[in-house]
Amino acid sequence: MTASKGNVLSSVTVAEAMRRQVVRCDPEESIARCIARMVKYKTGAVLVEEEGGACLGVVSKTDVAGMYYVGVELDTRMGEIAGGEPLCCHPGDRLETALATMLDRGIRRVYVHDGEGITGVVGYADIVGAMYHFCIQCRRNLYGSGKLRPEADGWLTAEDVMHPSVMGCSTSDVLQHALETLLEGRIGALAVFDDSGQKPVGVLSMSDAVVAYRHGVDQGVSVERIMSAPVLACEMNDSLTATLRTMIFADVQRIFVYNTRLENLAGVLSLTDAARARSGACKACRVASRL
Amino acid sequence: MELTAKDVMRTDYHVLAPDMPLSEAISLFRRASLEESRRVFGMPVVDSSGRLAGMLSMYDILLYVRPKHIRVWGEMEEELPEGLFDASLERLRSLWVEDLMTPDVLIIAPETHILRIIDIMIKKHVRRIPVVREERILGVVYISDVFYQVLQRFL
Repeated sequence: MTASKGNVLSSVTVAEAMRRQVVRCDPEESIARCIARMVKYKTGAVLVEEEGGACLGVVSKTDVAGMYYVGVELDTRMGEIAGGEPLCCHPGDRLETALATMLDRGIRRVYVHDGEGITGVVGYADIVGAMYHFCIQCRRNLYGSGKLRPEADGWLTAEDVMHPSVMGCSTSDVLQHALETLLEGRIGALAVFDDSGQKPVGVLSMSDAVVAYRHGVDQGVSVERIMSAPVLACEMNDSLTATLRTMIFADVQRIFVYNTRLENLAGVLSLTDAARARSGACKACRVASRL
Repeated sequence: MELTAKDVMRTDYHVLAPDMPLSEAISLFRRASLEESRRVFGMPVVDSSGRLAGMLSMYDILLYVRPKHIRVWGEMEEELPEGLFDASLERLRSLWVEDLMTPDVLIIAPETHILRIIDIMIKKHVRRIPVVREERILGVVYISDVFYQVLQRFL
């Protein structure tokens, strides 16, 4: 398999990268039930569809965390909160186009509509995975041919791709304030530091927030009550490939990046950043570096 | 053969509560297998008012443990960093039974004929079906009990 025109993504269609498992819910279902679907299937959004297949909208994890913050009852029907129309592409579209759309619109997934209905979804992890898949199989792949030595040939590292800032809170902060930070900044997760403010001891993600919502946790509790631990992190000079492998295995959208030791958090690397950069497999082509 | 669900169902089964921490439920799987002298792969979830709320199976838990993008990970050649799998499992600690259980459960009435039960088990690929009346669980029919009840006539 060889990339055409020197660009891996140009040769890949949406159909080759999409996941066919689309998580759906009925408008009559409660928010609590929707959260269970998000947790069980590890998805950031659920399509709200009527029995005949008519789509009423998409509800994201961020939307649900917002409902938690403003105190919406857990038994509220999904039909009442279903909002934005899903952004769709066609299975035959180029993956590159889908990625550009996601980056332009600041969204995390595009649904795939085959003309009759929504049959799949493409998110950043799917795109990164597809790039990895095609790079590994590509005949021009320097990594597979043994021509590439990561240290000598300047593989992309976590530092090259990360956002050089870390949003955080303290273990003793009130959950409600941390939720505000998450929602206002539209960020996926906060690093949670110990009371000295030096050592990261956990992560507060949107996933943690929606689970707390479903469990009826009062927003007055401290962040320590619901944060996840340990902190998933990598070193700045770790290769992007190794970092992606960790993220894909651990099912996380982002990983914290430290300089020498965990106490020195230097940034955050998200799958969005990784997709924007490249698969990290090799530099035989300059695929996504221009996206 | 006039066997029905009430003739083959077991009443010595363990149940889970929706708000039970998953770590407790996982321990209960092992204990239930020992106490029921058979392998327990799934258990009914019953709420505080005694209503059947769902079923939690080992499959539900393993589905969560499995990386979502396992297809991609399978192509990666190098070994995983030490401790990563353990760190990943830690996420189970914050979850309750109701977060992973299957809430839409196939149920049968005590009067359901055993051939109908066989048909449901084959078509729906289920190995256990709760026997329910007025939302209350009365017992559980297991495929192994159905198998031996039906086929002992053949021996």
